[in-house]
Amino acid sequence: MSCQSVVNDFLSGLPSKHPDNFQKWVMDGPKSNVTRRPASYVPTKDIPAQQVIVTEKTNILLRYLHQQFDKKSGKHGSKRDSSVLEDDTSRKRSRFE
Amino acid sequence: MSTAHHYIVTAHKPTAVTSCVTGNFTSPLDINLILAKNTRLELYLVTPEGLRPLKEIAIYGKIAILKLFRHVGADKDLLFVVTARYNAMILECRGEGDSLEIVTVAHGNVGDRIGKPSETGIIGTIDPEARVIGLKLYEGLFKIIPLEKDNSELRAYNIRLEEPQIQDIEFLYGCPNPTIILIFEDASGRHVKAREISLKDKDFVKVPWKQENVESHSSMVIPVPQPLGGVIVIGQESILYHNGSTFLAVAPGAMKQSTIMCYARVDPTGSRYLLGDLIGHLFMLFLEREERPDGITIVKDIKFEVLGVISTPECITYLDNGVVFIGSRLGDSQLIRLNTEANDSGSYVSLMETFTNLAPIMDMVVVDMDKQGQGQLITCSGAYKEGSLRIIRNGIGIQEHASLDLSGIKGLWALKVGGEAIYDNMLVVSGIGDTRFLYLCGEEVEETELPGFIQDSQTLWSSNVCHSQMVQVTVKAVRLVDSSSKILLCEWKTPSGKGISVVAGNNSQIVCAAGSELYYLEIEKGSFSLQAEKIMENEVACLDITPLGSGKAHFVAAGLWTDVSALILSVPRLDVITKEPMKGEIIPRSILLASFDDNCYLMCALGDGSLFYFTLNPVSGTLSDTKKVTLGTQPTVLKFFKSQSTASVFACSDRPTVIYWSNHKLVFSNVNLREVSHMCPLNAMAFPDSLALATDNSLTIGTIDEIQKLHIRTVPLGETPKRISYQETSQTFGVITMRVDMMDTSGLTPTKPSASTQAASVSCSSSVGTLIRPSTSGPSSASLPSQPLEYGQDVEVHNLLIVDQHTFEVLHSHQFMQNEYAMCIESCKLGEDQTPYYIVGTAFVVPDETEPKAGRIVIFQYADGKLQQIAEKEVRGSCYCLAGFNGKILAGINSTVRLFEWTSEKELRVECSYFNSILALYLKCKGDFILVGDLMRSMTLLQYKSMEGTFEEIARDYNPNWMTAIEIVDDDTFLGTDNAFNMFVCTKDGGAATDEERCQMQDAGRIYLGDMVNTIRHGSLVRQHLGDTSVPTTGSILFGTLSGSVGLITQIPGTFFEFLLELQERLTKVIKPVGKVDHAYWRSFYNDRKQEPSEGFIDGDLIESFLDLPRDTMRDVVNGLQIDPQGTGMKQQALVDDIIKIVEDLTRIH
Repeated sequence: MSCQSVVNDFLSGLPSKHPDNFQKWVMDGPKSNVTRRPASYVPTKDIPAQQVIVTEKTNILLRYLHQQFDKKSGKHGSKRDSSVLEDDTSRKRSRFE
Repeated sequence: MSTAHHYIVTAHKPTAVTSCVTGNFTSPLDINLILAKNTRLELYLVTPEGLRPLKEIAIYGKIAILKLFRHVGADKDLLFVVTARYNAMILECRGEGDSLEIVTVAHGNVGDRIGKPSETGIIGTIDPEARVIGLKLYEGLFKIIPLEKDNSELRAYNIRLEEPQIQDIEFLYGCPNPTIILIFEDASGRHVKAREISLKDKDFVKVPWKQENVESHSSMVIPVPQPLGGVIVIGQESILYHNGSTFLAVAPGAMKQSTIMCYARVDPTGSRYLLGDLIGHLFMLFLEREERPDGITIVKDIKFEVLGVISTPECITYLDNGVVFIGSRLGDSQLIRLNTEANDSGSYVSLMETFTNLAPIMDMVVVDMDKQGQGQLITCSGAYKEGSLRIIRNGIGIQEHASLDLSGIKGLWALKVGGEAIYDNMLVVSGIGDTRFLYLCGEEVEETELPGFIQDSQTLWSSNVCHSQMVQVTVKAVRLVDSSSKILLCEWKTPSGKGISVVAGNNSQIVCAAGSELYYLEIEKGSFSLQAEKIMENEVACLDITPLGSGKAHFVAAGLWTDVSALILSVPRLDVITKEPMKGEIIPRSILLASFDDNCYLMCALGDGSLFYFTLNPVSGTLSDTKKVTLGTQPTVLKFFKSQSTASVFACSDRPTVIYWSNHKLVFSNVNLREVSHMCPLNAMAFPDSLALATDNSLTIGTIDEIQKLHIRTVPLGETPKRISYQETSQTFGVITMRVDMMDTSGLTPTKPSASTQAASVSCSSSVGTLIRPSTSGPSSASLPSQPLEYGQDVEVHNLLIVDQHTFEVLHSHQFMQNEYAMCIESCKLGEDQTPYYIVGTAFVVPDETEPKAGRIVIFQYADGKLQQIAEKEVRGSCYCLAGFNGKILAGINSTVRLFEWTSEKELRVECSYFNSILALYLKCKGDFILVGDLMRSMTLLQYKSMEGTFEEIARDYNPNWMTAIEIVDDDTFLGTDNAFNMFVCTKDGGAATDEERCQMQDAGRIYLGDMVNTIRHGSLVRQHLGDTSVPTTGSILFGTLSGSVGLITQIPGTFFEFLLELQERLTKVIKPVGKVDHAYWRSFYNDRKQEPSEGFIDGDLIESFLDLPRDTMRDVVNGLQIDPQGTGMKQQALVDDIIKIVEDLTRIH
């Protein structure tokens, strides 16, 4: 297949969502466009965000260990006393930030 | 601690396109193009006519990632943005038209407290099924944001990424669990690996497939949608398709010339792609499919061909119907169309539109070339083939096409004479006691007679009117003439017999005054009919009857003598609807009813060059919102005209101004002419869409630039401009440029023609190949390389171009030696010698050396069309910067600052040196003071002691800032910018008690810009403001940035600073930023060591957005704000109009 026909294959039937788009463009040489910028958008409406993106603070290793532990304890429920898991009197202070 | 007070504002917004996306954002059916230009998003709509601009959205941060995604089942896309300071946001567009709102549906900071920022930059990618977003922000970590629609929190987490040197990451299509594909590099080469993520385990769970040792420069992965699936890996010279089980690779010859920069997928099924390379080739990549008997589609072949040449692309996106947007960082962005047939030069690409881009601004100068008290900015813009000089001028230029010597013009009108004429063919030029008729025949202008018109009297008004008739108004009469037969049809005189003093008219109506008598006439076929007459309380000074819509005018505007007032009268009865007094005793000279896109104004110019303007209610005729500006110093004449269908007002005065409507505001833009007394629009066959302008002693026909505030002219160079300097005596610019030559069989050859190879005359420092004469002493010559260049190797060749200041023609090109990089240029006079010299500092760059060990300072003289080398001085290092210093020359050479004097033998001799720097990159001088900008040790102030001939270190900023530019603001204030995109101010305190305090610069202000400042220069783009401005600014400093923006800094007094700070504070409460990033956070100083609140700077961009607020919101902002109008300390409650006036005056400083 020649290069010409490959390019033709590529360029024929390019996607068209709205056949009208760019059809009224007047092709009288390229237009130079310096400052046709859109109007500035100055938002003054306070629309609360539905979601907040937060990053989990747990260390990757700790998270891994917890997961491993959960998996294990799930498998062998009897090996470790469940009361230990529910014990909230951890000697470590919880993180506040 | 002293605080300096500065106002900083963007004069020209960033233009480099760093990223672009296409999708359905504003509605399910709309196709939108969204561009990221540093700190701003631009939203466009694809329409049959082309791209329609919708909104420009300020983001409080430098945009690092811009992606569109769509939830499964949704019908439109959401926008995901991450800034360089890790603020992430998901944006949705709601509403349409003017009520369009950009809603932040999710936001948060995704930065971690610890972590080493990603060496290969921030990488972001979104799962094609929108299950997760993946971010690589830090080395060794991959951050996952699960896109759970129903949670109020999106809990992002890090997972460990053990692969080193990750080049690119994408999500694969069609995987049951989100699966990434990545390219990484280790000691044995580059490898591709797919990794599946378990959302439950929050970790990578398996490696579905991998391919080791792909091409050693592979840098980009393109995931392929179903049914093909898999990935395309783009290398330096080859393309690999791999789907885990089978692969296919090609090495097309067309790829060899450069590096692929970016791609765009053309169709949703993923068989066609567009790719762009660094030298601006647009390629097609086509995955040819084959359906196997078992029903599985496989890739049979990879086709790769060149389609044409485009701007050096940074990003590409396919829009619709074969139209593609090319986003560029190094040159102008483009809208192109792909044609199925190649044109004569074999290209399938046709250019539809270019979008001017100044980026990256490497250097600039401010020069008053027209000697009109207004600076023009000449920038070194773009790189490689996109390299150019850009001339940026505030205001509107008139391109002169014809000019006639003609003095004493008192009025000017264009007519279409003859029944059939569609173009203007006659200019009516009125003098004080006569009228001349100039017939326009082609480009010829000849004086003629016009039957039916009076020649021996001054004309007050003339026009074509309805029923193919023409009107001439003189003091004696209003005359109606048939346009084709040129026979006088009717003559009307005032019933009282008084001479007509003022007149105005339109297509079918005339209003004229004789002293205080006012008459309203309607034009009929062959006659006038007097509809109303009225005696005014004072004499009429000026009149207008321009219709505000189509059809007849419903109002007459009049300005009166004695009580100095502007009136709106009804038509036809001439009842007074509104009377507006204008404070003062200056007589109104010209009045105009003007409508801009349905916004109606009454403008009234006074005899002292000031202009009052009022908002006019087009139904009731009432006036509101009085404003006053000073345009010139002489009586002003207002004329309405349309240029390229933009409605505008031309204010003729000693400072001609064009008034137009932009971004919901009236904008005043000056015109590059000294003085215009009258003008009329002219649309003649040979001069279409033109203006006729009367000046003191000539009549000029010209066309007007596109109506806009800043006008930019491009001088393409085709190679990278690095530094620029202006020399007034020779009327030239000295420009340092770099081009890339390639080693081939015949030696080094330029890869393509560019400014330095096409100059009118050419010289070079020595024959190519010999670097420095062997006789020279010093360590340099020995260390220079002698190994020959490899075949095909790229070599940077540096040049000095001498460019004419008027024509921008390259008059001369001087090529430096091989391996010699020109680093800086300065134009100055030396010693007693009155000759201005171009002085260039260079460095010999050897690949193995960490810092150059040798360089030169070369002194050139350009005179009589010739460039001559006068002297040269070898130096032991790279000469990074030069500055003229009281007849001597200062140079920053590696870690030293040296002062050279010019001996009578025309040689440079070292006078004194300063050694306490890492690399002395920047130098600025004022009097005896020298400010040194260091690579990583901020700024140091030196003083030259002329008696001792030594430098003394006066003060130093001890913060470890990595500098990109410096400037001396005044004797005690110093401005610097760093590579973490901050600007800061240091002050010296000579009066401090202890030595320790004196030698330490005080941190006196800081602000985050989110952009790299490459150059700072004193200068202004506007003329010194006239008359009453409400803003007490001192000085003007301009800076140019990496993303192509131009900013302005000015000093303001403390009281005004406090006032603006209060206004800024109030605006932050009212303006709800997109992405919900706090303004204080956005502007806070930030680098890898510290974050500190912004101080000492007013954010002018935020202040100016006050003018874009609805009036109700303005009222909320102003409510309770105190101003001190007289500056006496007597504060009073501010009104909305007071603040509008102040902010409008602030917009006029740039």
